[in-house]
Amino acid sequence: MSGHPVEVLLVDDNPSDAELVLVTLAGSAFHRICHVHDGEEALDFLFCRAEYAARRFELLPRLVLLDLKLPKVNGLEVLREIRTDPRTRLIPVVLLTSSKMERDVAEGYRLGVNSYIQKPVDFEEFRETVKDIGRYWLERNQPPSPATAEPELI
Amino acid sequence: MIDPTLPVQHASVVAWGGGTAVVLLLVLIASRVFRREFAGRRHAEARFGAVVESAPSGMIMVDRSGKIVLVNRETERLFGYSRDELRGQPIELLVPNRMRGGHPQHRAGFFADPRSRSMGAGRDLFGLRKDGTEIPVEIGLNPLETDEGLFVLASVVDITERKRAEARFRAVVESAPSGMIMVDQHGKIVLVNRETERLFGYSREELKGLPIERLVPVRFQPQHPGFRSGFFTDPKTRSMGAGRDLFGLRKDGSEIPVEIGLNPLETDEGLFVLASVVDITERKRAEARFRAVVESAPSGMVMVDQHGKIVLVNRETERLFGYAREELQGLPIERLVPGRFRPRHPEFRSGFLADPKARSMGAGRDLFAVRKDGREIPVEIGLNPIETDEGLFVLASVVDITERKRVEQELRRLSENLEQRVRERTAQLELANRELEAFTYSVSHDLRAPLRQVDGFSKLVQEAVGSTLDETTRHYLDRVREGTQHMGKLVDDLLHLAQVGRQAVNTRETELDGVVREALADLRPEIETRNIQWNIGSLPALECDPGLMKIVFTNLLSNAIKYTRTREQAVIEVSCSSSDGSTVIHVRDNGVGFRMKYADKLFGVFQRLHRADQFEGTGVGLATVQRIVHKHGGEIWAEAELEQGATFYFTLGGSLPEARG
Repeated sequence: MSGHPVEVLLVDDNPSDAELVLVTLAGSAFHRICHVHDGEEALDFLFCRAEYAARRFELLPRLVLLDLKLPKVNGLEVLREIRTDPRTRLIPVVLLTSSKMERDVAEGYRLGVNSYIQKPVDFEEFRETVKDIGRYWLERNQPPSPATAEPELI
Repeated sequence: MIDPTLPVQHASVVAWGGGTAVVLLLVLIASRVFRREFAGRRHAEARFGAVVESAPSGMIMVDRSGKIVLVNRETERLFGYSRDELRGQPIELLVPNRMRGGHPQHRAGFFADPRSRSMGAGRDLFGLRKDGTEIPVEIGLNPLETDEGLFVLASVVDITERKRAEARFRAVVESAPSGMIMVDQHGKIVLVNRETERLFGYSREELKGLPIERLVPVRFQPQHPGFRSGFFTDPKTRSMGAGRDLFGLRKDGSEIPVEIGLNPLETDEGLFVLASVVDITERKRAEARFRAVVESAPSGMVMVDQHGKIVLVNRETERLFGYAREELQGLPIERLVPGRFRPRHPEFRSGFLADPKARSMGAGRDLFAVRKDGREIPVEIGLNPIETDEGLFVLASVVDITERKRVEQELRRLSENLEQRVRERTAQLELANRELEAFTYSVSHDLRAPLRQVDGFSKLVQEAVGSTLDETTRHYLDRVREGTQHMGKLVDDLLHLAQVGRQAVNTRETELDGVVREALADLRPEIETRNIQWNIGSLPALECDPGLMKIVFTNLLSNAIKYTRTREQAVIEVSCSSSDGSTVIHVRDNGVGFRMKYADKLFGVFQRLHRADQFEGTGVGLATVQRIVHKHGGEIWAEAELEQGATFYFTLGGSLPEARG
């Protein structure tokens, strides 16, 4: 995994949900996925800290699938960190979460989330949703390259 | 043209009436002038002649045989004869025919006892003019002793004017609205008017000449002449009785309360008193009524005169202040005002008298009164000016508001308590709300995750080995997934219900037609495969939350679609009616319906009237609908028959309709 740039960073403490996402994404040809289990690990990964210290910073994931309810550092805090650092702030982040509370939705968008999706109970619907996300954010969406975006930010 | 030969020896003069007063004066002057200043007789005679000539009344000198020897200018004017025509004529020429016969005899009587006097002794006298008309006259007779014997000098005054004035006076008195009684110095009634007749029940003929005491009740009669003479010694206009109650005695022996004004009347005939008598029976009654009303008033009534003296109080005042009314009468009103307000009170009092109109006292300040025992009571005071014959009074009504103050205080305390309790309750509710929110959060998050897990992995199993499984095992797997999906829907619906419950209603004028269209659009997948006849009437625009209203229609229409599934031709109707000023929306279907005895269960959460294997559902939809309708202040109810379809009715706000299912 370390050799190839990661395409998707999946942040979810629920192993079942994570596995269902991984199965789904694997089925739709997105293989380079890194799954981390809490908010702290997500930040370690992104900012090359702790066990991810050896990771090359520039090889940022092209999409972050972020659960909201996470141990240690919750999803919204992870989101805030990502959006605060100029180097990570352009990464598309989708909140893919079990719960849906208006307050969380509003706060997510206030912090600059790209999408907020409640995971459906129905697996077929769930699989469609995850596939849609992958297709949209990894194939259709055209983010600016960090090189052109950078000067604007400084 | 006085006869200069006429010797004047002596002129004795006497006055006998106002009209002759001038003559008296002239004669007096003449005689004085004669005595003091002129010694020569001729001079004196000439002077006397001049005085007589210019006298303002007719002067006629007649000799013993009744011949006119001298007249003055005024006589010519009065009778229309020239002096030449009169001189030498018998005096009877000037006497009306009907009196002429007795006249020489009267004349002889005078010459037999010659002294100054008025003629006629109370009879009305008339003079006969040359033109045959008569004039009322007053005649004074004076003997005039001369060298040529005894003459009589008659002074004649035309009293036509006086008679007219008298007639006017009588007319005024006659038509006065009060009883007018003229009494002479001896207490004899000389004149009464019509109203007196009415008041006392006597005719005027009966009254004339009677002592006034006949009209005074027996018990007052002994003192009356004393009062009367008191008046005559100091005759001035005043009211009689000086505060005592006066009564008149009627002919039938009954008494009437009266008010009497006394006016002295100076006349030629002496001093009279003109009493005006007013029947105050009505006023007394009104007064009695006033007193009765005041007495029985439920508030303390205190009447105060212009000087602040208490003149009248009622029973309630005695009770309020602890004084007997005898103690209060005559006291300054300030006695009832607490010491600290007392100094300014007279000022307020005169302020009220300066602009007397009914108003409440104190203008928003708290008022207090002090009782006999020194205790203060909070009061409310209304002030009313009372105009009376005796001047301006103030009638104050005093209400003890101790109880009201206490209740006010109690209310204030209660409302403070209530506010406190509301605050506490609100805090509790907020806490409960937060707890509920946390609960829904965890339901949403923690219950859905495992369901997704069950469903997800069952599906993966199906996909991995589904084709190798026997039919029974595949069926079991299907049931596992059905169960999880149903529970997932339940959870979602419950969360939805909870969310609707928490959500604020944002009403605005909303076209319900549009809302129905949107709901139907959402239901298209369910409609497409069905044969449904839609009868959708025009709905009005109502004040409601469009988002919530869409949930209502979506649920009701979804139910209608679902429960008509067994019908070959489903008919679903949306319409409205008006009841009691509020609009009732109807959603009717020809579906399987339900038994009315279960109608009350329809809107309960998780309440279902159909088996799940016939009609799927969570039992949350109608609970959600009801909650939304209630949040709009409306009502929802249903009518149905088993297999005969169902109709749901709802209103939004306003009054409840009369007919209810």
